[in-house]
Amino acid sequence: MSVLTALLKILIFPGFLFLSAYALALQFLDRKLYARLQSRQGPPWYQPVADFIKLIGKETLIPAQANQLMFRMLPAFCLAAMAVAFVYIPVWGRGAMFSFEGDMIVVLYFLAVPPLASFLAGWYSRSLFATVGATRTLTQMFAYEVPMFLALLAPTLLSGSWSVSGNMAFYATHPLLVLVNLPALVVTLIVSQCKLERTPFDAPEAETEIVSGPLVEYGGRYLAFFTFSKDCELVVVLSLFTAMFLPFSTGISGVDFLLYLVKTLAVMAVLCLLRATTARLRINQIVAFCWKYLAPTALLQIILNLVLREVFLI
Amino acid sequence: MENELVSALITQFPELEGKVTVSKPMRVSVDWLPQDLFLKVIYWLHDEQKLTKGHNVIGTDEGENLGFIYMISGPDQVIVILRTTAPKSDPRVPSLSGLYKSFVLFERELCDLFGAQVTGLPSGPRYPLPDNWPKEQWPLRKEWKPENFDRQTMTYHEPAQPAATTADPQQAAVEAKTEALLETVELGEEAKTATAYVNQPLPDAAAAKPPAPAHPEGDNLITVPIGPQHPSLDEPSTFTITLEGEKVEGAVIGIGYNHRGLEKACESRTYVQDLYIIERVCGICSHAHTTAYCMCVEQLAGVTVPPRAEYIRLIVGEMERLHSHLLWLGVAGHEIGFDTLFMMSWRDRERVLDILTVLGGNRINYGINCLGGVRRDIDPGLAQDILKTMDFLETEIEYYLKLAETDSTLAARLAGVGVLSKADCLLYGAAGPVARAAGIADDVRQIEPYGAYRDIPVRVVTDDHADVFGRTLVRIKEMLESIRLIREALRLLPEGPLTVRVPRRIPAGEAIIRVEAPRGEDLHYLRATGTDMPDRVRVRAPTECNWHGMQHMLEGGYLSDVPITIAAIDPCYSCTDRAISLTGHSSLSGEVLDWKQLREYSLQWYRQRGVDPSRIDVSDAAARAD
Repeated sequence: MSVLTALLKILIFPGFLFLSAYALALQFLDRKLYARLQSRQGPPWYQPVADFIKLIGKETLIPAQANQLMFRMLPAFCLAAMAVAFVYIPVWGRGAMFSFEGDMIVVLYFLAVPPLASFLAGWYSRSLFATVGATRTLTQMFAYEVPMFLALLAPTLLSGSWSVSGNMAFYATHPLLVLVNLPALVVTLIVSQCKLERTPFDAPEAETEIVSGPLVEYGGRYLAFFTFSKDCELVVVLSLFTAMFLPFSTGISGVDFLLYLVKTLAVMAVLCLLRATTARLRINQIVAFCWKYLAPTALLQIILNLVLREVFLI
Repeated sequence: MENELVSALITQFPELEGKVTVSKPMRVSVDWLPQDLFLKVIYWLHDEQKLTKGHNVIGTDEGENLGFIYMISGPDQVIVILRTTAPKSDPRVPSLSGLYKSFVLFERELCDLFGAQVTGLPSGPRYPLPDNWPKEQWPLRKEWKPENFDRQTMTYHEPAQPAATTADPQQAAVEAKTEALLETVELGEEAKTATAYVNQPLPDAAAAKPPAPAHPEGDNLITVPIGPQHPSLDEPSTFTITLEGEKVEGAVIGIGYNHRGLEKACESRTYVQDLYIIERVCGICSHAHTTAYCMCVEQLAGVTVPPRAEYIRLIVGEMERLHSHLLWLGVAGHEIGFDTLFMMSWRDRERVLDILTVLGGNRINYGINCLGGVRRDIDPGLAQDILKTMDFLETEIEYYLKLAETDSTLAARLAGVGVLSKADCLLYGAAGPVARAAGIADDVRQIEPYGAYRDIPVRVVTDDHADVFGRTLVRIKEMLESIRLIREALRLLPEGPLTVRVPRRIPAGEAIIRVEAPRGEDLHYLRATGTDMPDRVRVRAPTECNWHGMQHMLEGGYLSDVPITIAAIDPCYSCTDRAISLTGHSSLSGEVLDWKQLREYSLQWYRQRGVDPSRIDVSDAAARAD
């Protein structure tokens, strides 16, 4: 692969440009569906773009006590992490743009960047509500990281490959084994909601309690890029979820791409439904829920997969 | 019941012979007493007769004296009205807030509005007047004229003597204004320390602690200001929450931002004009307030409202309860992040508002009540529409009830939050759904049926959860009860006229009326002197009772539960506060800016950003604007 095609792939398709477009489209679909579930009209299709452009044009205010450098750099960190993580997830065809054995761990680590950036943003804003929100973000992260890692690693135990693409290739040949991973699928679905800080797990940015949490001091283009990178996070999480738990593919790149769109949209609809039908949990309830129910389930899945692997020598 | 109480009083205190009367059913009125006798009587009533519920304390201006009217009641719900006076030269009166916790706010009002010195009142900030209100100005005293008060400089000018002014009068006016600006309001001690609270003050030890740092470094206590502007508050108020982690260690409540001087305004307008003011005490329970006010005037004038009017009042009152509770349900859903519930219940609320618009012409201030009856009729077509809407709402509300009883996230957020037990409710004098959720059947519609409620008895909804969950259930079930009442009233709607004539001049006397507003007992006091204007109007909205238990409800909970706990009493700040615009509050920053300082601040703000406003030619800009 020449450098030029590699760059084209990373920057345009299926890389950053596609990620951006899909992130904005998903934001619109999420908002529209959410609105329709609440018997509201919802925004027009161009609303996310309009919001982004409008925010870019706004005056940027940075609190005097805030750490200027960190305040400005964090949105970029967050966005960059998401753009890199997306490179290792298959979108066009069965394989990702780049892959190596163990890239899943890399993706997981990059996925830890947005909450960390959020935490640092809140912490360095030196604002009361932001600090409380930052603490909550970190608390929530400790709650969901373990079940998320356990649940996402479960399918790889069967496939024997710690690469997203390798995993997908394995399940393409053994499609029925996907059913074994159903508990992990449910755990990951709930954890995704938690990771994306959406209701019922939106305690870190609870508007009616702590205004809007870590990002309360953000405005203008920094806020625009922060929210945009959160949209990208949604795409990355959905893509990773479909690659790990719904790895059905045909081997024909174009069809697989359409399949990818259908799968991510379906998962997003489920997440949206979850968001529309629940109340926000308290942070202590979130921690208790993650550790009491999600982590043991994920652990059981790991044990089950290990046993299966030993017994059937897949 | 009333007569037993009267005879018991006279047996205990022979000197009260001839001074105690049963003024109206359920009202025992005691004449003006000297303070020592008054104290003996009220302590005896509290301790021996168990009259432990404090309804209201009203200040009045009796010429040379200040009058204090106390209303208390016991288990048999008879309101005993006790009066005492203090000369204006030495307006001292002992505080009864130790006896009746719910008197704290009312007694603060006496201090602020009448200049009474309530001895023994727990120290706290002023309420309900703004912090930069000048000292020695007591707006509800009769000699205080609002037209002599300059709101910009917050100064009161004695009526100008027609003195011989030699200099240019315009110049003199400017100088006077400058003078006033210069001697700007000195902050009172209490205003400086104003971490406003309603309830018992924090223990001295807690108050003496150094203020918690804004950033949690070194100390693990942080103070979070909820308000005056905060997404979860729909009206300004300040809740200063001290947190240890996520746990609320202390809560300090500051209200009084919305005092609009309605009671003073009422005193200089006729009874009919006052109706429009009273309608605007509150945005949601406007009908409850006018009903109480009209009933006061009608009782004094001795007129009987035609039955059809009473039924229409009931129907509108119950529709108001419906839309108020639907609004509350939506707010509660929003506070706990359940926006779908918020959208759905507000959508349903529109149906009620549509009916009220057809009936009264307005969504909120429908102005159905007029003195002596109601303004508009319900014709058969509208009755059909109402019944259809009720059918629609019944299915929706039954669904909400099922949702509240079964939804697990809702239960997780509401159960065990903001607990105010039955004993605490009685102690703090909680009213309405808050009390009913703790198992107290406190509903004026049943205790003292008025209007059409005499024909259509109300089944009082109570619950034993005593927390936010219980309050939710009580409100939802009350909506179902309201639908039943509306259907019943439409079925029984008698024929007849809508109004009777009420004379312009109301005979001298006083009336104390309570009405069940959506948020609880709404108590109005009206005193007439035989003219066409009232002598004293006192509106005690239900929220004013419910503030007292708030600190108790907040402390020990989580920060996440603060918004829903506040929302669960369905607070109506403007009802409680009722005066004059507020330009600053010191509870957080410790400084109050007056007009001049605000201007300087804004000029400085712009200069820092490279804009020099002094170079903008104002006259030029004004000319262009024309």
